[in-house]
Amino acid sequence: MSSVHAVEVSNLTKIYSGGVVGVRELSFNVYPGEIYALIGPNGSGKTTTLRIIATLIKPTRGALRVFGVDVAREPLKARSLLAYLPEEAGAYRDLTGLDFIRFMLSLRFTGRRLEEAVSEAIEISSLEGGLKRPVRTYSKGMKRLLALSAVLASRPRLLILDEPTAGLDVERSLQVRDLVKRYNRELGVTVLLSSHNMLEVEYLAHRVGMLYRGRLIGEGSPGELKKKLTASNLEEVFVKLKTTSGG
Amino acid sequence: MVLGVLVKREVKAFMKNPAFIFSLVLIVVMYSVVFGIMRAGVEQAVTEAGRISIGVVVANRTRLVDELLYLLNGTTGGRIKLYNSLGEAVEELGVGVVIPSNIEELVESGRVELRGSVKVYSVSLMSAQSRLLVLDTVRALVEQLLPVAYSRVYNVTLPPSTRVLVTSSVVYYEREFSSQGFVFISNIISALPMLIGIIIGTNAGYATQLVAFEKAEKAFEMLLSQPIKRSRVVLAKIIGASVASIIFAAAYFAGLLIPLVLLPPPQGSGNRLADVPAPVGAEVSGIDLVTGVVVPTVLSLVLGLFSSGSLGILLGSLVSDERTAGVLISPVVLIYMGLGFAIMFLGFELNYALSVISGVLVVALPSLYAASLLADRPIYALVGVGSAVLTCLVLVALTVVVFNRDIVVLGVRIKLKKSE
Repeated sequence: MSSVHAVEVSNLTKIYSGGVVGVRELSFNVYPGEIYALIGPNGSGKTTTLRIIATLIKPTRGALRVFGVDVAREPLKARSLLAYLPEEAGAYRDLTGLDFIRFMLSLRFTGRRLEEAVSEAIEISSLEGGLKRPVRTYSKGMKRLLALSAVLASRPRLLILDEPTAGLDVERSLQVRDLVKRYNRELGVTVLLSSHNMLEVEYLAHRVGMLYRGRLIGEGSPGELKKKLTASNLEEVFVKLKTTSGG
Repeated sequence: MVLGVLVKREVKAFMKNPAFIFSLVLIVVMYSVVFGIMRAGVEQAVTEAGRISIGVVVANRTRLVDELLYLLNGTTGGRIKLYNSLGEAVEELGVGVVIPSNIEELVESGRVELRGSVKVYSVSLMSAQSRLLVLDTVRALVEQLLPVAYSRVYNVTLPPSTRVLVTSSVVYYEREFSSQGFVFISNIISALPMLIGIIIGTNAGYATQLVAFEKAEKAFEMLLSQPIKRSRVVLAKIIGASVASIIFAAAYFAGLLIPLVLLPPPQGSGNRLADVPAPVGAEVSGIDLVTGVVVPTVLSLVLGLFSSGSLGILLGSLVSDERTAGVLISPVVLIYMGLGFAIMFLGFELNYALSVISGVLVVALPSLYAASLLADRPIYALVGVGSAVLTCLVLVALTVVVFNRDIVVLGVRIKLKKSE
């Protein structure tokens, strides 16, 4: 493993206005080339953490680096290293799928590199003729694939995915998971994702971080965690960790 | 039954929206103030026209003139006052008229030319017109009473064809303009705030839409996580909304102008003030149309589009759904438009406070600019433009700052306390 972590989160705290705690004293590292999954119930701080890493919101306290770049001090540089797919990510309804891909990628690339990236996104999306239709005619799954293809074709070093398969049918979910796994394996893209779906996490993630009420209550590979807590799946792991942490 | 449930749900969606409640309060306050001011202005103009005394300068006192003055004074309820000069009369009473020394000869020739002048303190549709109307009323009275006075003095009945005209001028901040030129320019100046108000009000709405829809489409966070400066995102949205607003304005004005071009012009001019040339020494319009009207209008439009665009984006970025955004921006749109209408009727006097307000709100800036050039007091135009530029910069900077804060992603949540 490289000495520079893909993501280095240290004592991260986010308190929203009104005193609502997003995350508290959160620390974890993501190694380059791995898939790291944050799992936990609603309101546990998954989206808050991902948004902070994606430079969308600022931490109240704590340090955060993406490939050695301080996210708070150099957000623009950090953004050039990462790509973020928000939960329920959509696309501009008035554009065609192809125009959306071209628009998103033209924010990063120009000239020949842009054309290559657009071709790559077209291939990834596997939407074919559908790309010429306006996005407003797309199903939820098509929109997610479109957004994911634009994100993947931007070839980020760090890919941040917030609930990438939430609300998708089985077929589309498999398609999304396979794409993520392929880009990680073939191109070495580091992936940080959040999910409710423990089966998905077991299939995808090298390591998981379990969040509960803004705190990390457990971390490790799915196999290690199951073995350590003598659980048959990650759901059981989570329940046991939650109980031991006083939840 | 089902329809009732559906309607109840739709109405409830508005009633539970704090932005809707806020906009209701704002709009009631705003339009109460605007219409209050407009009503007061119109009432003041009407009252003034009804009560104003008329300063009359007599170049040569003859029996005919004395008889005419006697009849005029009686008809107007004692509102005729004599002065030694037109300047003095206008300065004191606001309306003055000179009865020429050779009035007897003119009456016999069938055409009497009076010289009149009015003083105004602001440029609006009402200000000069209301006083010129008083002058025209005097002209009409003289036309009616002159044959009566002549027959009383000379015991000769004049044919009813004696025509009385007034060569009139308008005094504005110690400068004298021909009435036609001043009315023409003040009509243009007065209409500008309304036009600017419509365009920049629409622009604020468009700008809010851009952000609100982007949030609704769930593409906003993806855009913000791209390696581009947020200031560029803001600037692109301002320019995008401005382009849409300019296209809207072109369509709007085309709609307004097409009937004007197609319809035949109205026959006759009801006001004989327009039939006579400008008095010697009076300026026709006082300002160059390009530098005094077109340039400040374009400048105001650019500044207004940037200011209202920033404001729209700011509001759109502070809320997390397009329904709230729409409700929140509606009063802003109406405020811009309402101000435009109010200023068109009221005008304003030149002073530093109003110059700053005109600059901040931008809507009245072209009027202020042109009026201050008319008055030969360019300092007010400078103060207005300076305020507008500063406001524009502050709003753009504020929007960029907000775009770099959590609030742009999280939105503001207004919670109304539930009554138990």
